[in-house]
Amino acid sequence: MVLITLVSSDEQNFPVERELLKQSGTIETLIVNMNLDDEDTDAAAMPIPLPNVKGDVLEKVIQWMEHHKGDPVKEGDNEDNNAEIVVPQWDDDFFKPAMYGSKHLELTVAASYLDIKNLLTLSCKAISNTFKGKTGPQIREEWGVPNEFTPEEEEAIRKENEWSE
Amino acid sequence: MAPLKTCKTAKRARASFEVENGSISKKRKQNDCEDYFSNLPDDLLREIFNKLTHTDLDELSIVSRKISYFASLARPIVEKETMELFEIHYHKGKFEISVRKTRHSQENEKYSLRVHLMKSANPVCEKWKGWKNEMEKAKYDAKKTTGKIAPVLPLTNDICNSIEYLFKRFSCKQIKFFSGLMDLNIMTFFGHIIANVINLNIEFISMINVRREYNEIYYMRVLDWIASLKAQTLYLYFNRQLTGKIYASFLREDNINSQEDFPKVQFPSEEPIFFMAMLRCAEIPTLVLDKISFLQIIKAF
Repeated sequence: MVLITLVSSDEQNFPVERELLKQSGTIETLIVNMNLDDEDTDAAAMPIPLPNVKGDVLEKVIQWMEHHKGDPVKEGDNEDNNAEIVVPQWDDDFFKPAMYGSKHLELTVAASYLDIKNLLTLSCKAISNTFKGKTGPQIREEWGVPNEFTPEEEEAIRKENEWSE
Repeated sequence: MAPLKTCKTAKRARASFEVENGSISKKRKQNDCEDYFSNLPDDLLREIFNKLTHTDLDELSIVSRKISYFASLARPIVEKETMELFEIHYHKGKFEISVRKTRHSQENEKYSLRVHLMKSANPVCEKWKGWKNEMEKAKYDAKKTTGKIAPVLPLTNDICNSIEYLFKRFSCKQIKFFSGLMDLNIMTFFGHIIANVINLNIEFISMINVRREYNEIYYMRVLDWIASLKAQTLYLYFNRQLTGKIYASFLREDNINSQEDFPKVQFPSEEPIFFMAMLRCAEIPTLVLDKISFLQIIKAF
């Protein structure tokens, strides 16, 4: 089994099975460019630095990739019908504990940076699901967003949207 | 080879993640007051918002200015609520556009925009969710039948914005125009709105019977506009007083549902405009005309 080492921004090393890394467009490109797939190259001796991903987040990303090993990897632009995306139960349980903190958002940013399309789609969908059935003030409270609107401004926006059910 | 910290460091990373997040329930921690969400990169905010519905975006639009901005960007992308029918009425001084969930929706199951022209020189644009009671409806109907004919509907910005809002929010399979007096502004406006809707069925009922002073050029212009809408199915129910010339301009060789009781037909085949209208209508997959005998038309040729 070929292992490739990923190095996080806080200089933690993670040896990862080569096969898993096919899910990441960014790392896959680096592996090709660095000839790490060549038999003559000592892949373990050439760690891949990921300066934009912290160790704890990279750990979660690897955990997610391990679970999704063998899943088909999306290519090109995301053409999913947004309304039809369903977050599987395992992923939902995986995202939930960190959902309203910074960690889930860091995981989403990492998925974007590493170009892991399935993780990005599911992570974004999981975030968007947290807004379902919530009022504006509830969303504000849960995500810690400061209220910038005066009551009058808020009322004016509500009036514009009064067709909503 | 660089020494690997792997196992230990990985375990430490996992532990720190769990400790940090283990206590976070569905709500944010009290002391975690930083607004991480608003600080997400723009492309991720768009990705998240594109997975929502218009109703979700309504609520997000009052969260903060930045989130409201991204909610507005997502509006053209998110799925529209599918409705069966848009109805556009223009009756003696009142303009009403209704969006129905089903063809036979009850009054309170539809969304409406009403524009009143009767009592005031400035039209009043009113979002309306149905009659409060029967008495209110009766009062409206009485006004509708006794009111004097109003001038051509002035398309103010307010009205245009409200109509555009409905078309942005809902998708529909069919649009019905009732008794509309179509002036150039209205034709341009609706032509623009309908232009990007595909597989749409459009129905015009008694549309060109309001003003006798309008001449044939006006009719042909309206017909030309209707043809340009490129409906999947076009239903045209005109007033019988119109000449066969008008009917014939929409003739296609196939897909015509013939009906009886058709007035005497005259074919001004020498007029270039007739051929132009024919040509444009050839792009409409299905055309349904009322009270026209297809055989009669064929004979006339």
